[in-house]
Amino acid sequence: MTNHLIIGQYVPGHSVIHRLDPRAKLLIVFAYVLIVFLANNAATYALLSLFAFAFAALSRIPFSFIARGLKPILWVVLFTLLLHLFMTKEGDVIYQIGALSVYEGGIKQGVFISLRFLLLVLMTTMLTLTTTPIEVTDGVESLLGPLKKMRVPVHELALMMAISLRFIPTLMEETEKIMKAQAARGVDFSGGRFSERMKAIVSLLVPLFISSFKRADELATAMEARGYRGGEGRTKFRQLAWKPVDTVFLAAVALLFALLCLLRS
Amino acid sequence: MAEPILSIEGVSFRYPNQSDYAVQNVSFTAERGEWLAIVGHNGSGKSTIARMLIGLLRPERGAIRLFGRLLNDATVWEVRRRVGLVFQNPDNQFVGATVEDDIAFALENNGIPRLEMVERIREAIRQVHMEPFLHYEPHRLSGGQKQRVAIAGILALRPDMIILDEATSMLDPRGREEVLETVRRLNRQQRITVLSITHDLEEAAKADRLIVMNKGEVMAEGTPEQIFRLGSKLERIGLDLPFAVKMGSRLRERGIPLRIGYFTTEELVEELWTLYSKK
Amino acid sequence: MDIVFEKVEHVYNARSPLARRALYDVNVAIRSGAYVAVVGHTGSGKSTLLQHLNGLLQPTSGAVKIGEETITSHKRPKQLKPLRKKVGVVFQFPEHQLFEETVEKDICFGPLNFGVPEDEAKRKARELIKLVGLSEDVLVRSPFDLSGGQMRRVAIAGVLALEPEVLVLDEPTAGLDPRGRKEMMEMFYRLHREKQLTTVLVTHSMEDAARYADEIIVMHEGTVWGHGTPEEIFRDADKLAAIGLSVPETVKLKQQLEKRFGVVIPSPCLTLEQTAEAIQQLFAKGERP
Repeated sequence: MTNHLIIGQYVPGHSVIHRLDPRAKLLIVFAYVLIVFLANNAATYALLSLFAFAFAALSRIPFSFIARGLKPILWVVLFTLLLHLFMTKEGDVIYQIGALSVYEGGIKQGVFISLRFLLLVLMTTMLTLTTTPIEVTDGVESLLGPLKKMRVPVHELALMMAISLRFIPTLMEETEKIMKAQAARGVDFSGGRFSERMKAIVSLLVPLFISSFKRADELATAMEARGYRGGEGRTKFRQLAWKPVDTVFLAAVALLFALLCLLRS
Repeated sequence: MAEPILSIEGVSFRYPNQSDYAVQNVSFTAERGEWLAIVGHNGSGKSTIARMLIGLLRPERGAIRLFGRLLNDATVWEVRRRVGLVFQNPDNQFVGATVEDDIAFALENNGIPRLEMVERIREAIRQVHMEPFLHYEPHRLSGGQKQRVAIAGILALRPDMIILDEATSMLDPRGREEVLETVRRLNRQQRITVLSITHDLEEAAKADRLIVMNKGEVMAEGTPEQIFRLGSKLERIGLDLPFAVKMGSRLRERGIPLRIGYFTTEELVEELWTLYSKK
Repeated sequence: MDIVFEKVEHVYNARSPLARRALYDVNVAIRSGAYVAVVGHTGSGKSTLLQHLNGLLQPTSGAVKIGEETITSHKRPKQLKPLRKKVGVVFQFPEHQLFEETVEKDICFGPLNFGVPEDEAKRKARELIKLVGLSEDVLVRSPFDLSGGQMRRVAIAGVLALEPEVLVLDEPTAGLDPRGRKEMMEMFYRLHREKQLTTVLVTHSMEDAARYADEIIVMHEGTVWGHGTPEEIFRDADKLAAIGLSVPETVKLKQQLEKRFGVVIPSPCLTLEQTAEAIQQLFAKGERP
């Protein structure tokens, strides 16, 4: 049982956010990531935060769960904050300890930049928390559809992504099995000298690569046997349906954009 | 007699950079609705034949005919639609993110319209008794369940023939029984031709006809009864005899005058009883 | 080395929403030198049980005593290394653990990890390669150029090279053809006797359990359902059938004969020979029912 790590961290649910068309979600998050950089004062940051938190609240995923997911990046946020606190020299000096002085501009910059980073991570996390990997893949494939005309192998890329996602649990299980087999032969994966560690990693990676190549080979054969011959003339089982609610959410992002333009200084 | 659904004539094959033939001058036919088992030890060329039958490998010599037509570049895609192959490793043939996606895969490849797909998936999943698992991801299924999904993926294409390429050899006894029971039902009820490639003679004993492969060549062909009469010849090429046959020959060695020609424990008991009560 | 499980429980992902109890209330003793088969369905706890035998898993409560060592939920993995040398585990599809450039290096990998000098490890490799039925010139070849069956033998040699006192085998014949299966089981049996090993075999094959084991442990839904000699375990086919397990073909035959003939066959009928003899005796008596 490999449950320590859940890639994509999808949390099943039936909230309005869960049910949004993945294309809409991708567009919302993408647009949000871009317009975050428009914010430059308290009002605009407040507006952006409001939007992000409303979005998270609508997903009905407990905040505690989301917060736990954000924990690993807190150090980065803290580091950014401190960096700006001491490095930005604008406005009045607020506080001084020896050679280090904290300026008003530094506080402002530090808080804004950290907040910006936090919001970016929050919104992208919301995408993976509420959308299954396969939906993300479908959404990407559909959105990139026009690129097919430019000979970009959109279908192949999407299938590649879908298959990789499908095999993640299989490979994790395999990793665990090989680690156990090598541990039984005296390998210590948790410590030891550098050379021992390297040997331990090699004893895991070589078998893992060999089995992955074998899997890839067998999978390719199976796909061919099942009549796969590229995207040409293929129909699709998974169909995306754009609903009015998707339009409403996109409109909300457009409104957010307009307000940001008005309120920024 | 009706034309055979499958006929292969004088087929030979060798893998690149190998001097020995993996399959040499093999010929046989299969009738519609038949359950044909190809048995042989590991490396006897059984799986190579399966791969040639759906055009994954190309014979060096000889011809393969399916549904009365020669297998070649022009017919290979139709053959892959009408002949489904279940591979040995349940994991490495599961393409879709979930059960329904995987069943849909071959339908998508064949350009089946979406509405019809939904209908066919529902029908296929019912035939393998996996309805509750439609939205399951593969890592939440047992090996036997994954193999049944593979079968459903084939059924959705409404096939004429299913090839099991050691499809039960990685499964536990329960999984093996599930898969065989499913295929047996399809063979009887829908007259789907089954070609089962296996080294398990217990499984092969239930086939209509057996082909025994040894070192790339056909060693024997016949009904289970005819084949099991070969006795120790089969053991010498690395196969095992069904339990009742092994037991019978040991009893004959001990002077119990059993006749030959039973493959199940039940038949053996009846035979012993007949002898016993005649005494 | 005696192995004793005392009230062993194992919960995966304990204290999380994904917690799953795989073993509970396991009390079982495996005496030194015994050949023990562990049978049960996939998911019955067999494989969790076997991973406790060399400390790959630690009980979440209870204790596992292996010789002088006792493993409890507190015992840290660092202290478990000596144990791993004494208890060798051959996992399912052991050929998947091969990784070295040559067969010799791969066999030596385990012993070197446990501090065995290189020339002694090599000497062992030469000895073991023959023991598993391969010729010495295989040693210089890459394990990946060998056939599947040969790769498995190399992997097994790699575990035997640890010179364990206890050998744990998890479905060692999965995927082999009948001849390969038989040869491998005979090889383990020979090792068991010659090296006076304690052997623990996890298997789906009731035939193998009946043929080789002194004792059978039946696992069902995470705990020990039954423990006894093959004769004791297979005496009650109906009870085994109720948990979805079968008895060996020979025992099935015996039971059907008893029913049809209306007699009691005293022999346990665990092997073909034993059964043939029992039937011969039945006919020799010649008494009509």
